[in-house]
Order: sequence, then structure tokens, then C-alpha cells
Amino acid sequence: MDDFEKKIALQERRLQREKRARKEAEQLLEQRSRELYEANTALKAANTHMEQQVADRTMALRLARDEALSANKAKSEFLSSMSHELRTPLNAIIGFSQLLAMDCDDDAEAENIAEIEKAGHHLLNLINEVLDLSKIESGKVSINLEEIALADVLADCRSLSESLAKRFNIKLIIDSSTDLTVFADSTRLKQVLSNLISNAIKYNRANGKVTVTVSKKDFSERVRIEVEDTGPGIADDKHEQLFEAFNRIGAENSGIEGTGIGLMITRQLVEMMGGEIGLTSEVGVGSCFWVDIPAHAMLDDNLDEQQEQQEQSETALASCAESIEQEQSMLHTVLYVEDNPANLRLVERIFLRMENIRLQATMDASTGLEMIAEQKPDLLLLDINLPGMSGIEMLQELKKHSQTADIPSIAISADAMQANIDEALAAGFDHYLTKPLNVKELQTLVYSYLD
Amino acid sequence: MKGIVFSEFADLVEEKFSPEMYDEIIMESDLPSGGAYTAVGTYEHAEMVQLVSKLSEKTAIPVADLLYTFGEHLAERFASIYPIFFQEAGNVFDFMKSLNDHIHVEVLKLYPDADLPHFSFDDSNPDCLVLEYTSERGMADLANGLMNGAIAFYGENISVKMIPLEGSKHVRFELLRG
Repeated sequence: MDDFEKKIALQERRLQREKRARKEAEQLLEQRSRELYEANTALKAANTHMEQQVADRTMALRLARDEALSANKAKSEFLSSMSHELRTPLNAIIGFSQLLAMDCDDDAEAENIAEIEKAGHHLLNLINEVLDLSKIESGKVSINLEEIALADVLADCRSLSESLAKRFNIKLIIDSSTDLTVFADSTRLKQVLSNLISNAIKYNRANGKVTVTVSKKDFSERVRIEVEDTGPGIADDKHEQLFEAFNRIGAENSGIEGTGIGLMITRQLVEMMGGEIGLTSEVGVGSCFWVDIPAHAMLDDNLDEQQEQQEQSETALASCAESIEQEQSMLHTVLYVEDNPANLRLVERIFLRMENIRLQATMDASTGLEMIAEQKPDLLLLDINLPGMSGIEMLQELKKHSQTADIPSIAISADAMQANIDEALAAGFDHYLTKPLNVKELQTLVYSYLD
Repeated sequence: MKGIVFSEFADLVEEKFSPEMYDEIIMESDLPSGGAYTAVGTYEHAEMVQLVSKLSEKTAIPVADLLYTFGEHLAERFASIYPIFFQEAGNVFDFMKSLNDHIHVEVLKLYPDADLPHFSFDDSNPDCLVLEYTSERGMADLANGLMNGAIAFYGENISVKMIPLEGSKHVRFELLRG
């Protein structure tokens, strides 16, 4: 009995200890829970605060970007109008100094007047280039692409640069005896070449020479014009900077007059004509700037002329008949119907850069239908809002005939409303692109249908 | 000292000896906690010293042996409560090396008030890991038991040599493979 009571007492004590331990554990648990809850609340608040900060920053960035964009636009506009304003009085300065020079008998005075005139011309040059650049930057330069004979362009460049070459005592060699043609804007191409030649003359060594050559590789779609000098050369790591605005590498203190934006304008003009510009250079030997210009337009409205050209080239290249056949079997035809000339030009320019594709175009839906029936192009690009007959109606017409029903078609429209996109796709278009066009996207899409 | 050491001690005494034995040492010690321990609490280190001394007195087993056995038991319990640390390391040497920089760091996240012993190591010999234990509590025998428990867990053939440098507060352990 004594033993039993002892056991009861032991169990009683154990129970008391367990109870006490449990209470303590519960208290600790309660405390931990509270700490966790508070930490969680703090975290949530921090998170909300952070989200707010991100939103604020995003908004601030958007505002800053908008401001930068409008400031840049204002800058271009300001430069453009200021250049105009400056030119008017400058013309008077130059004009009147010329008049003064005519009436002047005193040699010393005549020299002074000549200095005024020279400075005036230099200033005019600067202003013109700034104006050009601001026009290009604000998209106000229009390019008129046509097939032009390189010989004429080169002859003009020679007469434009001869006096400068003479002044610097540089031998200017321009081989203009070429029958090659390019598809370019004649005025702008002359501007590009004159600028390169003038640089080659100015940044040359004493009694150096400048050589302009023209070449075209067989089957190449481009003509290369090279302007080579015997100047100090430009280190490889400086090449890219050359085409940046106001960067006059090594010429800052040379005493040679220049704005530092000539090459930037040149590059932009070349690119607008669908060409490419670059250079090779060896320090101490000279530099060679090259320009690649498309040899001809891929688009040709006149079918007869096109066939004639094809026949001619076939006769001329009879010895390479096999390779021509291969080339032509790889040639795809894409037909584009678009009534807006600007859009048409853009797409033509895009296709100039694509190999093995011939782009046919028309501005009128019914002509388009005739061309499609006749030529069975590999792919159709149709504007939706065409006068007279819409792109959708055109496609419906094509779907009625077994020969044209299966030609893949891409709708191109400024209309980005989902309902209209759905309508076009339901009518049978394989794809729908919205304007403004993304060049890469269009190219990838076209290739995907032609491969 | 963390409550889990006390609650595990209580379980071990009740299991290896008897509930009466545990009750007796509690009753005969002067404990602020009254011997009521929860694993999540924190208690005076002095209470553990009293409990172990009292147990040694009652059973005539040296304190060092009791602590060693307790260490082995704790290692086994830790491996079942916190298996992740044992799995991560994969072997005895890596486990011991991860003590300071990983395991104790994680323990402190859970229990910011924990007062943990420090282990420095020298692993220049791939077959012999040298550890130095430093703690004001002088629980090197417990550490020894824990190490042997870990070796048993991994089933490796490793012997532990314990070299006191400053009583049981600063001790060198040499873990020799093979």
C-alpha cells in the first residue's frame, strides 16, 4: 500500500511537471505566432511600398522618356528652322562680298574681302550639313530611286571635286568609263560620293592621290564604289566612331575645315537608298571607303521590258546557262497590291534586301487580279483598304478559281482592330500584318512561306 | 541551453534507468524550472550540470560516461528530427565541417537566443580530421558522444581520439579514418 501510494505520488508529480511544461510551450508558441504575424504584416507593408515605388519609378521613367523624345523633336525642328533663318543673311554676306570684290582696286582690301567670302562659304557649308542632318533625323528627306548610269554620276563628281583636288595638290583618278547602272537617287548618290572624295582629298598626305573605282561581282545584286586615299589611315578601333556625329577623329586640331557630321549624313543617305557603307584602312598607308548600292530595282511594272531584259541577260550569259537556270529556279515571285505610294516604296525597299525574291506590285486591285492569274506568284501581299475592291473581296475572287485558290496570302493593313483582323483571317488570309510594318517580321514571314 | 537537450535527457533517464530515478534527481536538485521541460523552451545550463551530477551520484557512473552516452543518444535523435542536415553532408567529415558555417547558422535562425559551441577544423590530412571544441560549458564529453553517434549514423569506420587542451572547455578531437 505504501508502495502504491508512492507510485501515485510519483505520477502526480510527473503530471504536474508535464502540465507546467505544456503551459510554457503554449506560451512560447503563442509568442512565436505573434512574432510571425508581425513579421508577416511588416513584409506585406514593405511589399506594397516596393510595388508603389516600382510604379512611381516606371511613371517617372515614362515621363522622362516622353520629355526626351519631345526635346529631341524640338531640337531637330529648332535646328531646321534656325538653319533656314541663318542662311538668308548669310546669302547676303556672301553675295555682297562678291559684289565688293568686283569693284575693288586695292589688293590688300580685295584679300580681306576674299577672306570674308571664304568664311561665309564655310559657314554656309556647316549650316547646310546641320540642316541636312536634322532633315534626315526628322524623316523629312525624300529619296527618289531610279535606274541611273554610274558614268554620269562619276563624271559629275569629278567636275565637282577637281578644284578641291587641285587646291590640295592631290591627284584625282576617277574611272568613269563604266556601263554599270545603279538603282539610287542621283542627287543623293552624288552627295555621298562627293563627300567621300572631298574627305579623301582633305585628309591625304602632301602630293597624295585619290582613286575612285567601280566594280560589280557576277550575280551580285549590288555595285561597289570605292574611294581610296593615300592618307594617314585610321586605326580599326576608331572605324565605328567615324560615322558618329561631331566626331572628327584626329582632325580636331588639324586645321582642316569640317563639321564632323559629313560621314554620319553619308551613312544615313546610303542606308536610305538600301545600300551599305564601310571602310578598310591601314595606318600609314591609307584608307578605302566603299559604298554598296543596289544594282537594280526588284520591282518592275513593265512586263515586256522585264522579259526583254531577261532575254538579253540570257544571251549574254549563255555560257553560264546552267547556273542561271539554278538561280532562276530559286527565284520566287511575290505580288503586292497597295494603293499608298509611300507604303509601296517601303516594301519595295525591304524586298531589295531579300535574295532570290522578285517583287511585283500594282496599286490597283483589278490589275492585281489579272497579274495573279497570269503569273501565279508564290505569295500575295494584299492591302485591305483598296479603292474599288477591298483586299478581302480580291481574296474571295481568287478563292473561286482552283489555279489561284491555294496561293498563300498575307493581309497588310493599318487597321489593328481585332474584329477586322478576325474578319480577314476568316476570309482566308494566312496571316495579318499591321502597319507600321516591322521589317524583320515581314521578312521572316515571307521567307517562311517561300521555303 | 535549449529545451530539447533537457527533454531528451529526461526521456533517456526514464528509459535507461526508471521514471523513479528521474523523479528522484529532480526532487533532490534545486531547479528554477522545477524540472518541467519543453523542447521549445530555454533553460539554465546549471540545471543540466546539477541533473547529470545527481545522476552520477545516484548510479555511481562517472559524469564523463553519462555525458558520452547522452551525446550518442542525442545524435540519434537529431538524425531523426533534423534528417536534412545529415543527408546534405553525406559523410562524417563533411558533416563535422558543416557544423559552424551551416548547421549552427541555421539553428540560430530558428533559435536566435541559442548559445552554441564553436568548432574549428583542420582538414589538411584527407584521412584525419582535426576538430577543436571550445565552449564555456565544458561539455566535451557530450560532443564526443555526439560525434560517435554521427559516425554510427553514417556507418563509417572512424575512430575518435579526444585530447584535452584546457580541461573540458577546450578539447582537440582527432577523427581518423580506417
